Amino acid sequence: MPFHGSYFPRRNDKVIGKVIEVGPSMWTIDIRSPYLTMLHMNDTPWKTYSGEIKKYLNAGDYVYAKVMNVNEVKESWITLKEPGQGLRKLEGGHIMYVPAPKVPRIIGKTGSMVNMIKDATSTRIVIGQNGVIWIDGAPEDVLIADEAIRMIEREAHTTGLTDRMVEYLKKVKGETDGNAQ
Amino acid sequence: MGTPSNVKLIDENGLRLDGRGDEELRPIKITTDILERADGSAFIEWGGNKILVAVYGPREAYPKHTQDIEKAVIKARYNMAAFSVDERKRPGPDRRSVEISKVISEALSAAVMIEQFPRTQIDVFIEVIQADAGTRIASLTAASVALANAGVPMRDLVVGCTAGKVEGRIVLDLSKEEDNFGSADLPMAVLSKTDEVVLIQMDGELTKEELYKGMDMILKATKRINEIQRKALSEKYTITQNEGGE
Repeated sequence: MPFHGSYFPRRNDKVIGKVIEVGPSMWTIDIRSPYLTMLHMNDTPWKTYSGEIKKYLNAGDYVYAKVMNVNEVKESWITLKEPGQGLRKLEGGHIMYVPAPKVPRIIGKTGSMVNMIKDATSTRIVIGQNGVIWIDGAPEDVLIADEAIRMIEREAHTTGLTDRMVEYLKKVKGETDGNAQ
Repeated sequence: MGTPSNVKLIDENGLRLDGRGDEELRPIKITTDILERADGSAFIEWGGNKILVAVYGPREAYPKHTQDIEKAVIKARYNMAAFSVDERKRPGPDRRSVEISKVISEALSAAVMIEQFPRTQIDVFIEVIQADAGTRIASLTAASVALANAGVPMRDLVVGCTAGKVEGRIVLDLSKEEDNFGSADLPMAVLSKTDEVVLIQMDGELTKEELYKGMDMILKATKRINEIQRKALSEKYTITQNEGGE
């Protein structure tokens, strides 16, 4: 397993991307890969018309989208039009980046690790396969979640990480509770 | 090269100026992941050589006409600091550093799985802070470690060494004096597992037998150097593992 490295889009991956350019009928999206990706207006849940797609997504917005297609020269297209998978424009929240190869560790087995952080910090977290993470919640909770994820990132190659995470979250939670009283 | 001189490069005991035997390497130390901004980095100290390597990418190739639709392009830039040699070196690329950049790029392209990411470039910045003979293979050795540190997929590590002819004898890993006053210099780099040669150059004259002897010595030495490369890469993670339990 590599420790670093950039993200390469794969079909059906769900990623978080930043809109960097708005064209007449497409958005150009940065997914922290060597290659930019495209989102076409017909692949969104909105009724859009060519030339006015800026109303829905503008440069600097983040989207949680699914990779629809990747071709031989690594050009790729993403879509927001898959109901029931939580694909959407991400409003508000806090964005953080981790190396893409560490994402499986942060998610944990069937989401155990990230669910633990979500529950402990009462935040909403969305993780893209490309290593972009969106966290929403009270600022102090976001900070705790951020630090917890950083900790996983640093120790992704070690064993017994889940146990240490339980300990860590218990500790910080205890501290914040203590301060509140 | 080949400048006649009265410097005695090998003493009566068969030891070289710095006390090494014919097949002895200078001390080598490699550290990785020392630059925060770079995707991967390595620092190598090889005898008196001090070389810093930073790797960026794979990223979209610019300018666009340099893109290759089938594979990534590796852009290595070898640069010597003005203070890296005895007499101040005029800064900027010169004929020598352009050549070295080219051979290093080509050698690395043989190891990196460039066909996996078309249209991208991988930048390898090599800064020679202190030079002491054999900088091109030291740079290459460090560059492949930096690439591995950056998580760039590679078939193998590139590992290099030099041999040369000093006072009629074939010796390994020339020092500055031996390089300047010896009669031949043979830098060579191979892929560590397959021994596939990815770089070989020769300055001076060697007979066929001498060339083969030199290459043999280098091949043996690359095994030892490869150990150092691998240790440098795994070191960072074994340490955190021990501390992890705190």
